[in-house]
Amino acid sequence: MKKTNDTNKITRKEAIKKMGKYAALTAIGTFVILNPQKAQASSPPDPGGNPFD
Amino acid sequence: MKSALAPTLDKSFGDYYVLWYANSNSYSIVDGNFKDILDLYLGAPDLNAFQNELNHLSAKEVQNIKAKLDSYLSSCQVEQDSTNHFDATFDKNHRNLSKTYKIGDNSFRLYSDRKQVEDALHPSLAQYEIQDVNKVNTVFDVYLNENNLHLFQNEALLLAVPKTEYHFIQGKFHMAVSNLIHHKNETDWLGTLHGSTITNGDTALLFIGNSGSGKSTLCSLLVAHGYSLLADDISPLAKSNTHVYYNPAAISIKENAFKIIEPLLPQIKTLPDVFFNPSKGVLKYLPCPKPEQLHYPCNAIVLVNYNPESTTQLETISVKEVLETIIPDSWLHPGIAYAGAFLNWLSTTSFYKLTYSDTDSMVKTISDLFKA
Repeated sequence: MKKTNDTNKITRKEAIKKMGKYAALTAIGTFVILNPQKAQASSPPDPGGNPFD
Repeated sequence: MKSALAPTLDKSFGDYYVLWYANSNSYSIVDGNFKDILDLYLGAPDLNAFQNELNHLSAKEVQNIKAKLDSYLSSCQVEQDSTNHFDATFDKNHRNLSKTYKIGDNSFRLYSDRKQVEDALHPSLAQYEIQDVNKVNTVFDVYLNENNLHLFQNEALLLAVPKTEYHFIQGKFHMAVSNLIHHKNETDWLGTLHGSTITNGDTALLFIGNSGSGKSTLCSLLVAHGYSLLADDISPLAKSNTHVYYNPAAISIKENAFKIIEPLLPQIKTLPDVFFNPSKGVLKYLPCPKPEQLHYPCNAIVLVNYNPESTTQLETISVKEVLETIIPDSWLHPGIAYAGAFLNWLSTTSFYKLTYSDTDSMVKTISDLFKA
Protein backbone atom coordinates (compact mmCIF):
# COMPACT_ATOMS: atom_id res chain seq x y z
CA MET A 1 0.00 0.00 0.00
CA LYS A 2 1.28 3.42 -0.86
CA LYS A 3 0.04 6.81 0.13
CA THR A 4 1.64 10.10 -0.78
CA ASN A 5 0.62 13.46 0.61
CA ASP A 6 1.81 16.87 -0.35
CA THR A 7 0.84 20.36 0.58
CA ASN A 8 2.33 23.30 -1.23
CA LYS A 9 3.95 25.99 0.80
CA ILE A 10 2.25 28.82 -1.15
CA THR A 11 -1.22 29.35 0.24
CA ARG A 12 -4.14 30.20 -1.98
CA LYS A 13 -4.55 33.53 -0.16
CA GLU A 14 -0.93 34.54 -0.73
CA ALA A 15 -1.21 33.55 -4.36
CA ILE A 16 -4.35 35.55 -5.00
CA LYS A 17 -2.74 38.55 -3.35
CA LYS A 18 0.22 38.15 -5.62
CA MET A 19 -1.55 38.33 -8.95
CA GLY A 20 -4.22 38.26 -11.57
CA LYS A 21 -5.25 35.83 -14.26
CA TYR A 22 -4.16 32.48 -12.88
CA ALA A 23 -3.74 33.58 -9.32
CA ALA A 24 -5.58 30.56 -7.98
CA LEU A 25 -3.30 28.28 -9.93
CA THR A 26 -0.19 29.41 -8.13
CA ALA A 27 -1.46 27.54 -5.11
CA ILE A 28 -0.70 24.10 -6.44
CA GLY A 29 -3.14 22.52 -4.01
CA THR A 30 -3.09 19.13 -2.35
CA PHE A 31 -3.21 15.57 -3.53
CA VAL A 32 -3.13 12.02 -2.26
CA ILE A 33 -2.28 8.88 -4.28
CA LEU A 34 -3.81 5.55 -3.24
CA ASN A 35 -3.12 2.06 -4.56
CA PRO A 36 -5.52 -0.82 -4.04
CA GLN A 37 -4.27 -4.32 -3.28
CA LYS A 38 -3.41 -6.48 -6.28
CA ALA A 39 -5.26 -9.46 -4.82
CA GLN A 40 -8.26 -10.05 -2.58
CA ALA A 41 -7.42 -9.88 1.11
CA SER A 42 -9.06 -10.05 4.50
CA SER A 43 -8.09 -7.54 7.23
CA PRO A 44 -4.30 -7.41 7.34
CA PRO A 45 -2.69 -9.01 10.40
CA ASP A 46 -0.95 -6.72 12.88
CA PRO A 47 2.81 -6.79 12.46
CA GLY A 48 4.77 -9.32 14.44
CA GLY A 49 3.66 -12.70 15.68
CA ASN A 50 4.34 -16.02 14.11
CA PRO A 51 1.12 -17.45 12.69
CA PHE A 52 0.47 -21.21 12.59
CA ASP A 53 3.15 -22.09 15.15
CA MET B 1 2.87 18.30 -22.29
CA LYS B 2 3.26 14.93 -20.64
CA SER B 3 -0.13 13.96 -22.01
CA ALA B 4 0.91 10.30 -21.94
CA LEU B 5 0.99 10.61 -18.16
CA ALA B 6 -2.45 12.23 -17.90
CA PRO B 7 -5.08 10.56 -15.74
CA THR B 8 -7.19 8.06 -17.67
CA LEU B 9 -10.41 8.93 -15.83
CA ASP B 10 -11.53 11.79 -13.65
CA LYS B 11 -14.67 12.51 -11.71
CA SER B 12 -15.76 15.44 -9.58
CA PHE B 13 -16.90 14.86 -5.97
CA GLY B 14 -17.79 18.22 -4.39
CA ASP B 15 -14.55 19.96 -3.41
CA TYR B 16 -12.44 17.08 -4.73
CA TYR B 17 -11.68 15.26 -7.95
CA VAL B 18 -10.84 11.58 -8.09
CA LEU B 19 -8.35 10.82 -10.88
CA TRP B 20 -7.59 7.26 -11.99
CA TYR B 21 -4.36 6.19 -13.70
CA ALA B 22 -4.64 3.05 -15.83
CA ASN B 23 -0.92 2.15 -15.83
CA SER B 24 -0.81 1.72 -12.07
CA ASN B 25 -4.50 1.31 -11.09
CA SER B 26 -3.84 4.30 -8.78
CA TYR B 27 -6.62 6.52 -7.48
CA SER B 28 -5.56 10.11 -6.77
CA ILE B 29 -7.77 12.53 -4.85
CA VAL B 30 -6.93 16.16 -5.58
CA ASP B 31 -8.50 19.49 -4.73
CA GLY B 32 -9.81 21.98 -7.29
CA ASN B 33 -6.62 24.09 -7.32
CA PHE B 34 -4.47 21.10 -8.04
CA LYS B 35 -6.81 19.88 -10.79
CA ASP B 36 -6.80 23.33 -12.46
CA ILE B 37 -3.03 23.61 -12.60
CA LEU B 38 -2.58 19.96 -13.61
CA ASP B 39 -5.04 20.44 -16.52
CA LEU B 40 -3.19 23.60 -17.55
CA TYR B 41 0.15 21.77 -17.49
CA LEU B 42 -1.10 18.71 -19.38
CA GLY B 43 -2.92 20.89 -21.91
CA ALA B 44 -0.01 23.24 -22.65
CA PRO B 45 1.83 22.29 -25.88
CA ASP B 46 5.23 23.08 -24.35
CA LEU B 47 6.96 24.64 -21.36
CA ASN B 48 6.88 28.11 -22.92
CA ALA B 49 3.12 27.95 -23.30
CA PHE B 50 2.80 26.82 -19.67
CA GLN B 51 5.09 29.68 -18.59
CA ASN B 52 2.99 32.15 -20.62
CA GLU B 53 -0.14 31.02 -18.82
CA LEU B 54 1.62 31.69 -15.54
CA ASN B 55 3.34 34.89 -16.70
CA HIS B 56 2.72 36.59 -13.39
CA LEU B 57 5.16 34.16 -11.79
CA SER B 58 8.91 34.17 -11.98
CA ALA B 59 10.66 31.53 -14.09
CA LYS B 60 11.91 29.97 -10.86
CA GLU B 61 8.39 29.68 -9.46
CA VAL B 62 7.15 28.06 -12.69
CA GLN B 63 10.08 25.62 -12.59
CA ASN B 64 9.17 24.76 -9.04
CA ILE B 65 5.54 24.04 -9.99
CA LYS B 66 6.71 21.99 -12.99
CA ALA B 67 9.01 19.91 -10.79
CA LYS B 68 6.18 19.19 -8.36
CA LEU B 69 3.78 18.20 -11.15
CA ASP B 70 6.39 15.97 -12.81
CA SER B 71 7.08 14.26 -9.52
CA TYR B 72 3.34 13.80 -8.89
CA LEU B 73 2.72 12.39 -12.39
CA SER B 74 5.57 9.91 -12.15
CA SER B 75 4.36 8.76 -8.69
CA CYS B 76 0.97 8.07 -10.28
CA GLN B 77 2.58 5.60 -12.70
CA VAL B 78 4.07 3.44 -9.96
CA GLU B 79 2.21 0.20 -9.37
CA GLN B 80 1.44 -1.22 -5.96
CA ASP B 81 4.26 -3.50 -4.83
CA SER B 82 3.41 -6.98 -5.84
CA THR B 83 2.53 -9.25 -2.95
CA ASN B 84 4.98 -12.06 -2.62
CA HIS B 85 3.09 -14.53 -4.81
CA PHE B 86 4.90 -17.46 -6.36
CA ASP B 87 4.32 -20.62 -8.34
CA ALA B 88 3.86 -24.01 -6.75
CA THR B 89 2.79 -27.45 -7.85
CA PHE B 90 0.03 -29.37 -6.16
CA ASP B 91 0.97 -32.04 -3.62
CA LYS B 92 -1.88 -34.18 -2.32
CA ASN B 93 0.20 -35.56 0.53
CA HIS B 94 -0.90 -32.66 2.76
CA ARG B 95 -4.50 -33.88 3.06
CA ASN B 96 -4.55 -34.64 6.79
CA LEU B 97 -7.82 -32.92 7.74
CA SER B 98 -11.00 -32.29 5.83
CA LYS B 99 -14.25 -30.32 6.14
CA THR B 100 -17.22 -30.40 3.79
CA TYR B 101 -19.66 -27.53 3.25
CA LYS B 102 -22.96 -26.92 1.51
CA ILE B 103 -24.15 -23.40 0.66
CA GLY B 104 -27.27 -23.26 -1.51
CA ASP B 105 -26.79 -25.83 -4.25
CA ASN B 106 -22.99 -25.84 -3.92
CA SER B 107 -21.02 -28.36 -1.97
CA PHE B 108 -17.28 -28.17 -1.56
CA ARG B 109 -14.52 -29.67 0.52
CA LEU B 110 -11.52 -28.10 2.22
CA TYR B 111 -8.46 -30.22 2.89
CA SER B 112 -5.71 -28.91 5.14
CA ASP B 113 -2.46 -30.15 6.59
CA ARG B 114 -2.90 -29.08 10.23
CA LYS B 115 -5.38 -27.60 12.71
CA GLN B 116 -3.81 -24.11 12.83
CA VAL B 117 -4.02 -23.78 9.05
CA GLU B 118 -7.57 -25.13 8.99
CA ASP B 119 -8.43 -22.52 11.66
CA ALA B 120 -7.49 -19.69 9.28
CA LEU B 121 -10.34 -20.69 6.92
CA HIS B 122 -12.78 -23.16 8.46
CA PRO B 123 -14.31 -21.34 11.50
CA SER B 124 -15.73 -18.57 9.31
CA LEU B 125 -17.76 -21.16 7.35
CA ALA B 126 -18.45 -23.60 10.21
CA GLN B 127 -22.21 -22.91 10.06
CA TYR B 128 -22.27 -24.44 6.57
CA GLU B 129 -20.35 -27.61 7.48
CA ILE B 130 -22.08 -30.88 6.62
CA GLN B 131 -21.15 -34.43 7.55
CA ASP B 132 -22.10 -35.82 4.16
CA VAL B 133 -19.04 -37.32 2.50
CA ASN B 134 -20.57 -37.82 -0.92
CA LYS B 135 -19.14 -36.29 -4.07
CA VAL B 136 -18.62 -32.53 -3.95
CA ASN B 137 -18.49 -30.02 -6.83
CA THR B 138 -15.26 -28.36 -5.79
CA VAL B 139 -12.23 -29.25 -3.69
CA PHE B 140 -9.91 -26.75 -2.00
CA ASP B 141 -6.53 -27.64 -0.51
CA VAL B 142 -4.69 -25.38 1.90
CA TYR B 143 -1.37 -26.27 3.45
CA LEU B 144 1.84 -24.91 4.87
CA ASN B 145 5.08 -25.98 3.27
CA GLU B 146 8.46 -24.46 4.17
CA ASN B 147 6.81 -21.39 5.76
CA ASN B 148 4.71 -20.75 2.68
CA LEU B 149 0.97 -21.10 2.61
CA HIS B 150 -0.63 -22.66 -0.49
CA LEU B 151 -4.23 -22.63 -1.68
CA PHE B 152 -5.47 -24.81 -4.54
CA GLN B 153 -8.91 -25.17 -6.14
CA ASN B 154 -9.48 -28.50 -7.87
CA GLU B 155 -5.68 -29.01 -7.73
CA ALA B 156 -4.97 -25.75 -9.63
CA LEU B 157 -2.97 -23.14 -7.74
CA LEU B 158 -5.02 -20.17 -6.58
CA LEU B 159 -2.29 -18.56 -4.48
CA ALA B 160 0.95 -19.25 -2.63
CA VAL B 161 2.36 -16.64 -0.23
CA PRO B 162 4.67 -16.46 2.79
CA LYS B 163 2.67 -17.55 5.84
CA THR B 164 2.76 -14.06 7.36
CA GLU B 165 0.62 -12.92 4.43
CA TYR B 166 -2.16 -15.40 5.22
CA HIS B 167 -4.78 -12.64 4.85
CA PHE B 168 -4.35 -12.98 1.06
CA ILE B 169 -5.11 -16.72 1.33
CA GLN B 170 -8.25 -15.89 3.34
CA GLY B 171 -9.23 -13.23 0.78
CA LYS B 172 -8.67 -15.56 -2.18
CA PHE B 173 -10.57 -18.41 -0.51
CA HIS B 174 -13.58 -16.19 0.22
CA MET B 175 -13.46 -14.82 -3.34
CA ALA B 176 -13.47 -18.39 -4.70
CA VAL B 177 -16.38 -19.38 -2.42
CA SER B 178 -18.30 -16.23 -3.46
CA ASN B 179 -17.69 -17.12 -7.11
CA LEU B 180 -19.11 -20.60 -6.50
CA ILE B 181 -22.26 -19.52 -4.73
CA HIS B 182 -22.99 -16.59 -7.06
CA HIS B 183 -21.96 -18.43 -10.25
CA LYS B 184 -19.46 -15.72 -11.12
CA ASN B 185 -15.77 -15.46 -11.83
CA GLU B 186 -13.19 -12.87 -10.86
CA THR B 187 -13.85 -10.69 -13.92
CA ASP B 188 -17.48 -10.25 -12.80
CA TRP B 189 -16.46 -8.13 -9.79
CA LEU B 190 -15.49 -4.46 -9.61
CA GLY B 191 -13.61 -5.40 -6.50
CA THR B 192 -13.75 -6.73 -2.97
CA LEU B 193 -14.11 -3.79 -0.61
CA HIS B 194 -12.51 -3.87 2.82
CA GLY B 195 -15.60 -3.37 4.94
CA SER B 196 -18.70 -5.07 6.33
CA THR B 197 -22.15 -4.73 4.78
CA ILE B 198 -25.51 -4.84 6.55
CA THR B 199 -28.93 -4.93 4.92
CA ASN B 200 -32.46 -4.14 6.11
CA GLY B 201 -33.88 -6.40 3.38
CA ASP B 202 -34.22 -3.49 1.00
CA THR B 203 -30.89 -1.68 0.69
CA ALA B 204 -27.46 -2.05 2.25
CA LEU B 205 -24.91 0.07 4.14
CA LEU B 206 -21.16 -0.56 3.85
CA PHE B 207 -19.26 0.01 7.13
CA ILE B 208 -15.58 0.79 6.76
CA GLY B 209 -12.73 1.56 9.15
CA ASN B 210 -9.22 0.52 9.91
CA SER B 211 -8.58 -2.71 11.78
CA GLY B 212 -9.77 -2.22 15.38
CA SER B 213 -12.25 0.56 14.54
CA GLY B 214 -15.17 -1.63 15.62
CA LYS B 215 -16.89 -2.48 12.32
CA SER B 216 -17.36 -6.16 13.17
CA THR B 217 -18.62 -5.30 16.67
CA LEU B 218 -21.08 -2.79 15.20
CA CYS B 219 -22.31 -5.35 12.65
CA SER B 220 -22.84 -7.93 15.40
CA LEU B 221 -24.90 -5.40 17.38
CA LEU B 222 -26.98 -4.57 14.30
CA VAL B 223 -27.57 -8.29 13.62
CA ALA B 224 -28.76 -8.61 17.23
CA HIS B 225 -31.28 -5.85 16.44
CA GLY B 226 -32.78 -7.64 13.45
CA TYR B 227 -30.60 -6.52 10.54
CA SER B 228 -28.95 -9.07 8.25
CA LEU B 229 -25.26 -9.45 7.59
CA LEU B 230 -24.51 -9.38 3.87
CA ALA B 231 -20.71 -9.47 4.16
CA ASP B 232 -18.13 -9.21 6.94
CA ASP B 233 -14.67 -7.75 6.25
CA ILE B 234 -14.73 -8.54 2.51
CA SER B 235 -17.67 -7.02 0.60
CA PRO B 236 -17.81 -8.15 -3.05
CA LEU B 237 -19.14 -5.48 -5.44
CA ALA B 238 -20.49 -6.83 -8.75
CA LYS B 239 -19.79 -5.18 -12.09
CA SER B 240 -23.18 -5.96 -13.63
CA ASN B 241 -25.40 -4.11 -11.14
CA THR B 242 -22.97 -2.56 -8.56
CA HIS B 243 -24.74 -4.53 -5.81
CA VAL B 244 -22.88 -5.90 -2.80
CA TYR B 245 -23.18 -9.71 -2.78
CA TYR B 246 -23.50 -12.17 0.08
CA ASN B 247 -20.21 -13.33 1.57
CA PRO B 248 -21.03 -16.39 3.71
CA ALA B 249 -18.16 -15.84 6.17
CA ALA B 250 -19.22 -15.42 9.80
CA ILE B 251 -18.36 -12.20 11.67
CA SER B 252 -14.86 -12.35 13.09
CA ILE B 253 -14.84 -10.89 16.61
CA LYS B 254 -11.79 -10.03 18.66
CA GLU B 255 -11.53 -10.78 22.37
CA ASN B 256 -11.93 -7.16 23.50
CA ALA B 257 -15.41 -7.02 21.91
CA PHE B 258 -16.78 -10.19 23.57
CA LYS B 259 -18.08 -8.30 26.62
CA ILE B 260 -19.85 -5.66 24.47
CA ILE B 261 -21.64 -8.28 22.38
CA GLU B 262 -22.39 -10.93 25.03
CA PRO B 263 -25.43 -9.23 26.66
CA LEU B 264 -27.21 -9.11 23.29
CA LEU B 265 -25.90 -12.32 21.75
CA PRO B 266 -25.26 -14.71 24.68
CA GLN B 267 -24.60 -17.58 22.24
CA ILE B 268 -21.15 -16.06 21.71
CA LYS B 269 -20.06 -17.77 24.96
CA THR B 270 -20.56 -21.19 23.40
CA LEU B 271 -18.61 -20.44 20.22
CA PRO B 272 -15.15 -22.01 20.09
CA ASP B 273 -12.05 -19.86 20.62
CA VAL B 274 -9.92 -19.65 17.48
CA PHE B 275 -6.23 -18.90 17.78
CA PHE B 276 -3.83 -19.14 14.89
CA ASN B 277 -1.97 -15.85 15.06
CA PRO B 278 -0.61 -14.39 18.31
CA SER B 279 -0.89 -10.83 16.94
CA LYS B 280 -4.67 -11.20 16.45
CA GLY B 281 -5.24 -12.94 19.81
CA VAL B 282 -8.31 -15.09 20.44
CA LEU B 283 -11.11 -14.77 17.85
CA LYS B 284 -14.66 -16.03 17.74
CA TYR B 285 -16.67 -16.39 14.54
CA LEU B 286 -20.31 -15.39 14.95
CA PRO B 287 -22.54 -17.14 12.38
CA CYS B 288 -25.42 -14.99 11.10
CA PRO B 289 -28.60 -15.98 9.26
CA LYS B 290 -28.40 -15.76 5.50
CA PRO B 291 -30.14 -12.61 4.17
CA GLU B 292 -33.36 -13.02 2.18
CA GLN B 293 -31.69 -12.08 -1.11
CA LEU B 294 -28.10 -12.75 -2.13
CA HIS B 295 -27.37 -9.16 -3.18
CA TYR B 296 -28.55 -5.63 -2.42
CA PRO B 297 -27.86 -2.14 -3.74
CA CYS B 298 -25.58 -0.15 -1.44
CA ASN B 299 -26.02 3.61 -1.51
CA ALA B 300 -24.09 4.72 1.55
CA ILE B 301 -20.67 4.13 3.08
CA VAL B 302 -20.25 4.69 6.83
CA LEU B 303 -16.83 5.17 8.42
CA VAL B 304 -17.02 3.60 11.89
CA ASN B 305 -15.39 5.25 14.86
CA TYR B 306 -16.03 3.57 18.22
CA ASN B 307 -15.18 6.03 20.98
CA PRO B 308 -16.15 5.07 24.54
CA GLU B 309 -16.12 8.76 25.54
CA SER B 310 -18.44 10.00 22.79
CA THR B 311 -22.15 10.41 22.26
CA THR B 312 -23.57 9.09 18.97
CA GLN B 313 -22.88 11.37 16.03
CA LEU B 314 -23.41 10.92 12.30
CA GLU B 315 -21.74 13.46 10.03
CA THR B 316 -21.15 13.61 6.29
CA ILE B 317 -17.54 13.22 5.17
CA SER B 318 -15.59 13.70 1.95
CA VAL B 319 -14.72 11.17 -0.72
CA LYS B 320 -11.10 11.70 0.35
CA GLU B 321 -11.69 10.36 3.86
CA VAL B 322 -13.63 7.38 2.50
CA LEU B 323 -11.10 6.41 -0.17
CA GLU B 324 -8.11 6.90 2.15
CA THR B 325 -9.71 4.30 4.43
CA ILE B 326 -11.03 1.85 1.91
CA ILE B 327 -8.60 1.70 -1.03
CA PRO B 328 -5.33 0.55 0.57
CA ASP B 329 -6.91 -2.67 1.89
CA SER B 330 -9.32 -3.41 -0.96
CA TRP B 331 -8.82 -5.24 -4.23
CA LEU B 332 -10.11 -3.22 -7.20
CA HIS B 333 -10.13 -4.68 -10.70
CA PRO B 334 -7.52 -2.77 -12.79
CA GLY B 335 -9.57 -2.58 -16.04
CA ILE B 336 -10.74 0.81 -17.28
CA ALA B 337 -14.40 -0.23 -17.55
CA TYR B 338 -14.21 -1.49 -13.96
CA ALA B 339 -12.56 1.68 -12.61
CA GLY B 340 -15.14 3.80 -14.47
CA ALA B 341 -18.01 1.78 -13.03
CA PHE B 342 -16.48 2.01 -9.55
CA LEU B 343 -16.22 5.82 -9.81
CA ASN B 344 -19.81 6.02 -11.10
CA TRP B 345 -21.00 3.91 -8.18
CA LEU B 346 -19.11 6.15 -5.74
CA SER B 347 -20.74 9.23 -7.28
CA THR B 348 -24.19 7.86 -6.41
CA THR B 349 -23.14 6.94 -2.87
CA SER B 350 -23.37 9.06 0.30
CA PHE B 351 -20.47 9.17 2.75
CA TYR B 352 -20.81 9.36 6.54
CA LYS B 353 -18.77 9.03 9.69
CA LEU B 354 -20.47 7.41 12.68
CA THR B 355 -18.96 8.01 16.11
CA TYR B 356 -20.59 5.99 18.86
CA SER B 357 -20.33 4.24 22.19
CA ASP B 358 -23.96 3.61 23.18
CA THR B 359 -25.61 0.73 21.31
CA ASP B 360 -29.24 1.90 21.48
CA SER B 361 -28.60 5.35 20.05
CA MET B 362 -26.26 3.86 17.40
CA VAL B 363 -29.01 1.42 16.29
CA LYS B 364 -31.53 4.30 16.15
CA THR B 365 -29.13 6.38 14.04
CA ILE B 366 -28.53 3.51 11.60
CA SER B 367 -32.27 2.79 11.42
CA ASP B 368 -32.86 6.46 10.49
CA LEU B 369 -30.08 6.28 7.91
CA PHE B 370 -31.68 3.22 6.28
CA LYS B 371 -34.93 5.20 6.03
CA ALA B 372 -33.24 8.33 4.63
